Amino acid sequence: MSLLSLIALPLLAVFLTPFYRNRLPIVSLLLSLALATVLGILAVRIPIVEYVSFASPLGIVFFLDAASLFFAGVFIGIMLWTALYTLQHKSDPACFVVRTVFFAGALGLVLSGDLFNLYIFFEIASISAYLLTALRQDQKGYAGAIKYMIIGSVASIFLLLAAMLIYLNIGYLTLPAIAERFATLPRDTQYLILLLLFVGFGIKTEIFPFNLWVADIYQAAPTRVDGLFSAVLSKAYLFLFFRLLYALRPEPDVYMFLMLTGLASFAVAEFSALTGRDLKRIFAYSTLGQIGVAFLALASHDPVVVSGALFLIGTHAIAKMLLFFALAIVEKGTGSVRVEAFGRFRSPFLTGLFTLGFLSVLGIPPLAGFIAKWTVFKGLAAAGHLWIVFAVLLISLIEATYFFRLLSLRARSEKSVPLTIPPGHKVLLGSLGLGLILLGLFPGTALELCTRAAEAFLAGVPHV
Amino acid sequence: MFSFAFTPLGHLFFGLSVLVFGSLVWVEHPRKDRMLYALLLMSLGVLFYAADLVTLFVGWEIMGWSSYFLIARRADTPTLQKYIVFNLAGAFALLGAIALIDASCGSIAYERIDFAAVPARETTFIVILGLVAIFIKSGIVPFHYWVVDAYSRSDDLFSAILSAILSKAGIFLFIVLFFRLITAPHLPASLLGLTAWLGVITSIIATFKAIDQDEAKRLLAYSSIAQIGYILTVLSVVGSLSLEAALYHTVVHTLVKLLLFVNIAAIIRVTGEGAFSRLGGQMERHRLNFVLMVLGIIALAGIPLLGGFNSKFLLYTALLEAHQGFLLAAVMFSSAGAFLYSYKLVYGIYLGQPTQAALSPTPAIPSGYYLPQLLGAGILIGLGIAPGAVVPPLNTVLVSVGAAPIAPLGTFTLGDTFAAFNGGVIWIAFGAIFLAILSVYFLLKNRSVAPKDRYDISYSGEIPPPGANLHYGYGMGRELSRIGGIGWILRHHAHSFWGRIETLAHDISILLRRLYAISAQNSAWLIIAAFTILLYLEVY
Repeated sequence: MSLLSLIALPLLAVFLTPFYRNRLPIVSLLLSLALATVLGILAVRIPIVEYVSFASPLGIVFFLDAASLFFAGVFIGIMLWTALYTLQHKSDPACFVVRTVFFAGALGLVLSGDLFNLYIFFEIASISAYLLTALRQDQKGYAGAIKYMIIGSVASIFLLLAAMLIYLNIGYLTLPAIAERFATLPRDTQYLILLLLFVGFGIKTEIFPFNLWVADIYQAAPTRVDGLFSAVLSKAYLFLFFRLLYALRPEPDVYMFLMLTGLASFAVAEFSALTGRDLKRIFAYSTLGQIGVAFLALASHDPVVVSGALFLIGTHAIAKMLLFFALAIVEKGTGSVRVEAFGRFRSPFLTGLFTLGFLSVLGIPPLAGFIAKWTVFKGLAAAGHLWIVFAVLLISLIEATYFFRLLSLRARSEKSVPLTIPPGHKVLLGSLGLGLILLGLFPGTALELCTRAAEAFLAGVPHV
Repeated sequence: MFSFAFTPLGHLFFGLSVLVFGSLVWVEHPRKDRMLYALLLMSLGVLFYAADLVTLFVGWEIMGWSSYFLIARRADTPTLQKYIVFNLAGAFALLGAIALIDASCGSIAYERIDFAAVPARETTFIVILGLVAIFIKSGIVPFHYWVVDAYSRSDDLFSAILSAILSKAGIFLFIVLFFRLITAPHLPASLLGLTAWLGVITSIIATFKAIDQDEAKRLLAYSSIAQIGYILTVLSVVGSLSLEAALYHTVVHTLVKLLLFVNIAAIIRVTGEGAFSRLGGQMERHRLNFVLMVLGIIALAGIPLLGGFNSKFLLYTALLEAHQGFLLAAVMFSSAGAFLYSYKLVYGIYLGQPTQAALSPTPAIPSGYYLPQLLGAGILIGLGIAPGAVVPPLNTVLVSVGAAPIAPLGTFTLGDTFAAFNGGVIWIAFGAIFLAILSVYFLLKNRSVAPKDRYDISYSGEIPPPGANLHYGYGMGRELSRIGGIGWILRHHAHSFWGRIETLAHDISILLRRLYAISAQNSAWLIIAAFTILLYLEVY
């Protein structure tokens, strides 16, 4: 079983769309089950390094180690969940094609081990994201997609420049080869490459000050797509940036700088959300904030903190899928995503789910988010970054303020709009909520996986 | 990940919680809240029986947010915001302290935390963060901002739980942190002096604020803050007797506040009024409730006969023995103020002329409201007769947190070699005097007094217009504002300070939110500008 099949299978399924255009929900489910099986088979053999078509050092390389396995697992899990969720929808070829390519792109991003390949998946993921933004085919969607495209192109330029500089100076594009030789480069060249990567990936990982476009895109895109952006796309880039960074092994003060960037990102996003009036934007700011924390934690270069960051990424993906998909139901029922709409619908089930989602994002026990935050704090305190812990805790208060303001609307408002939620969707959304509780109460195994992934992550790229 | 230990300290606090929750079950409750109450009780179990700090924190947080939803049933958004922001700030401070303990001790299990090895700087940080958490939960000045609104605006029965149980969580944390974990020698004396004085200042400010209140529940909320202030003060005078005094006062205050809040909840339930200016003269209608209220304020004010005296007695003794004369004087000053608001409580609701609003007939109080009150009053009377009965169980608590036990002086006697009193003797003496006065009263009582109209007071030289509020409870305490220092306290609020912080956060938010609405071109320019700046920084 080849690693390539994880990417080839979805792309193949997309090409064959005309043959089963009326049964796409089922195909989508089968596809994700097949991918989960493949990943399961591959997981026992990690770390895997695969060369396609060319010999090292020029070839196309795919990696699967504990870290990329973690991310691929999360993505395929979300893909499976989404497939189950759309099982009740009618067959929509456009949606199927774009979504599947999107997941293929995201999987490609976490699996690829050379810059050439990486750039291709970078573009595949980006273009499918533009298309997802405009999926509703309305004016707002197109405007958002164009804005996304402009910014995305800027990111691509920076990344391409970095790749060119690396190739010019090192002569290789595969990560192990680059990792070996990066330290021999002149200091200025090193800095320029890192800076180009930082800006290019900063845009894509949605880090301040490169994330000023994000809220608009989230507002323009369909609400459920926001869930995917939040849970999958930004996480894939986050993984990729730090995979490169850990491979290149820059000087220690780079890590400190990145931690500060993450912290600033968290602060700015949470402050912006404080007075937000649009739920999609508020959730988008919250995502930016959590990415900031994950970025900060990943940049700490400490095994405990990084494992906490991975746990955070996983639980945040669950929580944000839950929140955005639940919000989509509210949007459909009340016709609005304004804050006022949050007090209008009548559904104890959704109220419970929103509560679980908010509390988990806030990192409040007994939910999964708490375990993530606690692991991060524990590690940061042990590494001597106590003031960062305090800063994060202080800013979390801002986050708590707006989340609990929303919950207070649920507690007492005039609830007049009844929502109808199909039983299947109820079960799926409920399973996410349950997952957050269970991961919070019994984090053992998941935490163990994250620890192993963190070790692999910090070890850099697998050797050839 | 989570671990538990069933210690006497946990038994004491959880026992009190079960008592309060169990007695309130008999009073009417909306069915949908049962789940939340059960969750809250469970969280208290987790908190009080935790054997490591993370488990404690989990209990602490669940307690915080489950009570949020219970408060949310009635309270308005600003009250809720205040409650949650303050409580989470406290919780996050606690989390910071726990992370620091974990980093410096290598463990969070109580048994394996050894503060002897922790450097002074870390200890200071841990202590400050822990104190912030404790102060916020217990409403110590200047963190009391959220307390009064949350207590007074939530459901009438839930206020009882907030005041009787949840405020004690802070005390519990104080004991765990500063008696079990950081043994007293490691704490700087100046720090304990500071907390002792903060406790007294809190109780003085809260006492005078309480006298000034027109709403019964707000008065009780301030009174609650004041009582917790005493507990903090006496706890800060580290020692066996002071710990016993604190625990005793915790028990008494829990019972008293259960009694008083349920008493007022019953009055609000039948009259629909909670303000002194709209009540009065209820004694005739609700005799049993009146008697229970009298018992409650006797205990609250610390007058002999009921358990309230016992804990005050221990408290004064502990302060005296520690040679804390100034603290003692301050506590006594505040206690004297407590007489005034206790009086207002009983006068404003039950005595005097009924106000216009309290004239309409009221239904009888549902019997469920009597059970918690009778329970509280019964135990308080029992403690009054046999004050020494709880010394042996309290001793096991003392021993479990590492303090020396107090030598018991028998069931009816409380105190130590320095000072002691016999509850049985007091009851006999008071009973004799009371019976004597009562018989004289009945012998001399003039039975020919005709009932008068309530506006028939023309012999006082004043003819009030109809609708004038004749009730004394309405204006009581106003005159206090003319006294120098007290007037200053009454005129100043913590609102302006915390309000300014809130406004600042909102202004920053609006400013930053504009950033996220810029166009794609500007966004791209900004990215390039950031790149250029970073490049420039490196080159030069």
